[in-house]
Amino acid sequence: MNRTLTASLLVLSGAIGLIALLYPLVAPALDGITSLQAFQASQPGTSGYALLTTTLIGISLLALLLEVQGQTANAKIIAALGVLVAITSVLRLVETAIPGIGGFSPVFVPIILAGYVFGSRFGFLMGTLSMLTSAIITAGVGPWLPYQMFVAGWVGVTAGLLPHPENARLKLAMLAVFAFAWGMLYGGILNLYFWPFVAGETSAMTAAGGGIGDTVASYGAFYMATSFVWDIFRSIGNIVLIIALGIPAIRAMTRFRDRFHFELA
Amino acid sequence: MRFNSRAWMVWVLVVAFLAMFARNPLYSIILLALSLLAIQYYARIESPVRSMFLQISLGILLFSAIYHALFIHIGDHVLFELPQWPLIGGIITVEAIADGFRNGLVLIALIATFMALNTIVPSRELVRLVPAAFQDLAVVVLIAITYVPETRRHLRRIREAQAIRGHRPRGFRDWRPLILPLLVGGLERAMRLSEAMVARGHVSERAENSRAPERILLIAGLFTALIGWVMAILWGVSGYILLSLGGLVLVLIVVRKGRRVRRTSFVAVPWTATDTILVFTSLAALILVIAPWPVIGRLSLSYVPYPLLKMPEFHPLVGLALILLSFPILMGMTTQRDHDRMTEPDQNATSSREGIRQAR
Amino acid sequence: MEKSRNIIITVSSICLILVWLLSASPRQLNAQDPNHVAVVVRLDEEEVVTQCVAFNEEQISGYDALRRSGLSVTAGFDAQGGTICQIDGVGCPADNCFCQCKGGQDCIYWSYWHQVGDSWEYARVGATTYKVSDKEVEGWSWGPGTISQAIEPPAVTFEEVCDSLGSSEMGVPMEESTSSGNWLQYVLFGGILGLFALALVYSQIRSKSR
Repeated sequence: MNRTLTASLLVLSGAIGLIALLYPLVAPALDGITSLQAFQASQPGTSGYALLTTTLIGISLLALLLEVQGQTANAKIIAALGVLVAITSVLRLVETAIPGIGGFSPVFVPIILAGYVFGSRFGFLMGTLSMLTSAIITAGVGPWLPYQMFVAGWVGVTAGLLPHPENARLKLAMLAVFAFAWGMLYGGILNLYFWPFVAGETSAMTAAGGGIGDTVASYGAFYMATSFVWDIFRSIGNIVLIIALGIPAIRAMTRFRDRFHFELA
Repeated sequence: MRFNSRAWMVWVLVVAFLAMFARNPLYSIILLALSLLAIQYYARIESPVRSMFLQISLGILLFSAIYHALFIHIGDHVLFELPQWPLIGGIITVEAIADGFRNGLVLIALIATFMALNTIVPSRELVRLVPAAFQDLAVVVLIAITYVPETRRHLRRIREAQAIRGHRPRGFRDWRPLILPLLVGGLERAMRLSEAMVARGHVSERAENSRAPERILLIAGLFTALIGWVMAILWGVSGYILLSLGGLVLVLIVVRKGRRVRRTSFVAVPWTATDTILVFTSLAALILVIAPWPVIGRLSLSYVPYPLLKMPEFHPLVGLALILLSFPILMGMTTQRDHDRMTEPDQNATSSREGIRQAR
Repeated sequence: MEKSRNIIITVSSICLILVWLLSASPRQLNAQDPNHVAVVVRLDEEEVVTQCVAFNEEQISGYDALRRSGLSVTAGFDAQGGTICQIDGVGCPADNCFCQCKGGQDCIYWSYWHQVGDSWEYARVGATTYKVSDKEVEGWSWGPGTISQAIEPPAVTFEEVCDSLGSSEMGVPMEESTSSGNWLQYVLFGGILGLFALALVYSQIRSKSR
């Protein structure tokens, strides 16, 4: 019962994220099926779209937080989360202090590792709260925050779902691939969110007007122009960091988890 | 002169909403000016965005103009014509560039509004705005914020220790000896902290939180919201109602849960008459602009430069409604500032002292 | 020093760009344009307007063809590009382009058609995106708009519209924006900005006097 509820909430929220994010890409394809003017008939415009979607993502984020919080309320977990979130936020602050390239930012590695060791719920909280805290301390609160939290939360959730192979090399390789994939995905997803904002209502969704291919191509151009290079650097940075840190960090966190008798399902 | 952070939140949300809603550059400029003036009068916290605001704005304008010029080939003032390349081929028009500037202006106004929130409301008060139902999460964030300076010090110590040993950070490889001690040290601290928390009576509310009916309701609410969103996209109004219904269910659950949480607040933040006026004027401006009045120039809210560029309209009534939002600036001008810009910890100390003083 | 030079460079390049932008003038239409497209507009059951539109370019958008037909056209522009709201006084205002929609299926608006061979085909792409070439026939029909319900425009051939020529040929110059009008609103706007500027100056004076 308990697990079914949590699982269905997670699935629902994931579905919401996917639908809301992919909608701009799929919309023109829907046009082709029905009719363009009919489709436009009820379009609220992009400001409406962005507002609607932010609301929906916000609602689903709050629901997930409520659910996950209910399962984790415990002084040990709260303290561990608080400290780990602080470390992640500081890493985000000092991004520039250590030479790295381009868009490299180390925030995802702790989220992935924590999710991997402590499980999906912890990973979710780690992701969302890291984004929230670093936004607060760097004065970066804005309409983009719910999306960042949502996506970073899902980085943690999925990390918790990964298998735990015995072989250390295999584990490391798996985590590295995982971190690379999320590095790319994160940029792509946040861009999808920003796209209608930046590109403006006239062009965003049907720049080229035809089927889904044209929209994807137009999004692709936007993506290439804005963040492809950054994403590549971020993802490669993630791999390097996972390889350098992964095993000892996992060991340290596992030791801590065992000492604490974390009761996490 | 200070406003309650809840009142500021209302003001910021109204300005941000209007910035997204009124897509006429003249209104965007007014909203942008309002946010910048609010920052000028009330900012207490330095923000990296603020020092780079001009560069960021120019960058956004430039990018948006180029993007629109390349992707929108509508308009009568043709600058030149690109060959039929995929995606970007076609005529480059002044109208598209103007539309790019207009869109960039909306974005800049939005950024400025949130910059106002970030620089005016101290982080601790931001956390305080979190509803009681999320108390545990608020505690996590508070712990994190508290530990950030310490973690930075910790990081500096580790680097100094490495520097003494002749270690110079050069690349990716150097993250390892830096982060591992940070992680281990941090986890040790978490251990001590949690023991202290339990010793001081922090109680887990596990049993309280896992009420099955509430969780089923939560799922149902979320599902309703999703259906509402789809319907709003496809069919308009009926969907908005469903989406708000889903949101309402969530709000109800949050309120119910919040009631069960007992929260001690150490400093009662005063709510004064000026706060009420701020909320009132903000909401009045919102309603004046978005409600479908016959008189007020709704047409002027959207500005479309296509197909032939023309001056955007400025409707006096909308302008007056926006002026209502300048109430905090008016207050900032007429009253003395009770303290100059300060660094954050000092400011917090003063704020609690002041809170106590006023509570008496 | 470095900073002020940067500012000078930025400002002067912005000025240059502005001058360049302002120097562009609206497209002029030529009476001897070589290409033609027929536009068929079905206003209601009885009334159908046809126009032959001449153009100079190789292709123009369906939207431009409609505008140059000389009929008054109101279009809304939003997320999906341009949408035709009103033709020749029939339809909806630009800010509520689908005023005859009650959600779902019952929607009355301007449906958009292309003639392929001898029959009408429902447009799959918006008029601002679609490109028409010489000798094509474009159709607009006011009524229930979805693909299953829409009423196609009457069968008219290109020759019927464009060969009878003479008076029906259109190459109407685009309407100039007439509302140079109400300067008072801009005075008000300027006044508000002026007040804001005063507030800014005041705050700076005050913080200096400390």
